[in-house]
Amino acid sequence: MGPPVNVDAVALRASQYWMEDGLVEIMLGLIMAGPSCLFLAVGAIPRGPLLDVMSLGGVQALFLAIGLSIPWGFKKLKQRIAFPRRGYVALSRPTKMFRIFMFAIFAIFAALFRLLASRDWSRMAVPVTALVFALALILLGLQVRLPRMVWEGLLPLGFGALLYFFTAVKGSKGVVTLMVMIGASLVILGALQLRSFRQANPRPEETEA
Amino acid sequence: MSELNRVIHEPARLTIIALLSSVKEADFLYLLRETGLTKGNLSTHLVKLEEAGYVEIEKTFRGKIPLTLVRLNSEGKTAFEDYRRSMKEILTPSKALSKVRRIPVHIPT
Repeated sequence: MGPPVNVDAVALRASQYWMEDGLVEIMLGLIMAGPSCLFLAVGAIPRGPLLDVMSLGGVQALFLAIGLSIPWGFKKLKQRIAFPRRGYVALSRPTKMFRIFMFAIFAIFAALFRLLASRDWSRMAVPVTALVFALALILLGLQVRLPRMVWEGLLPLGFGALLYFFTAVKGSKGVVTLMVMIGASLVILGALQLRSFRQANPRPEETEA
Repeated sequence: MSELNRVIHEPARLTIIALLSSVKEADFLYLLRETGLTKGNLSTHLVKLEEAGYVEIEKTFRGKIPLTLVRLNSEGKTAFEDYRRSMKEILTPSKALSKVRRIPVHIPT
């Protein structure tokens, strides 16, 4: 008779633990909403010297700064909030096969979005993007067996339906608006999750970790 | 039938190894929270795993706070995989046994 330990469930704990504090949602939300807000802001700048500066590498520099600062901030917050309360754990590096698979998926979606940016398909850009993000969140939630994330997968579908049926936005502007909506809602849900995580796990006395 | 690895078969140590199998490294506090063991118990099991050559324990500092990092090494990974294979063999009924079970039994009336 085997010992009463569900090895598969235990091995899955690290991934679940990584998402328990809501910081993953906050990071994902900022990654989606940050560059999208920048894109919308640049689009609203009137012709003039500021737009010239932005078009001469200013936008790329800001994108790079946002892209680098969000993971850096995530790491710092994990070290400051989660690790002293529940312990430190470093996830294994993804395998080469997994990275190739993710790159292939990314390439397929990049090609799909390129197609959707064309005038003929611009009306479909928002619902397809919403579907892609919904599937990504739901699959991630199922993979790590986290019901909260499966429910969060319904957000992109709701926002996508809202934009598709009740507004006239389409094409790249529609996609960017959708990403701001999804990103902002993920940040709010992540912040709520973080609050309950901090309440459930008070900071222990500074003894051995 | 392959023999079970007694070092890993103990439930607390199996939980520790299963936790470490999916991560690069973890600290003492994480293992303490996840296993539900006491500090003393966890230390004892970690020492046993270290003596068996399955885990590496690194004592360091985070600022002024002592930090104990634990990693499953390649020997530990191999031993864990072998253990899981052995358990599967034990728990999966053999083909011969499953054939025997399918034979219809006629009870004379």
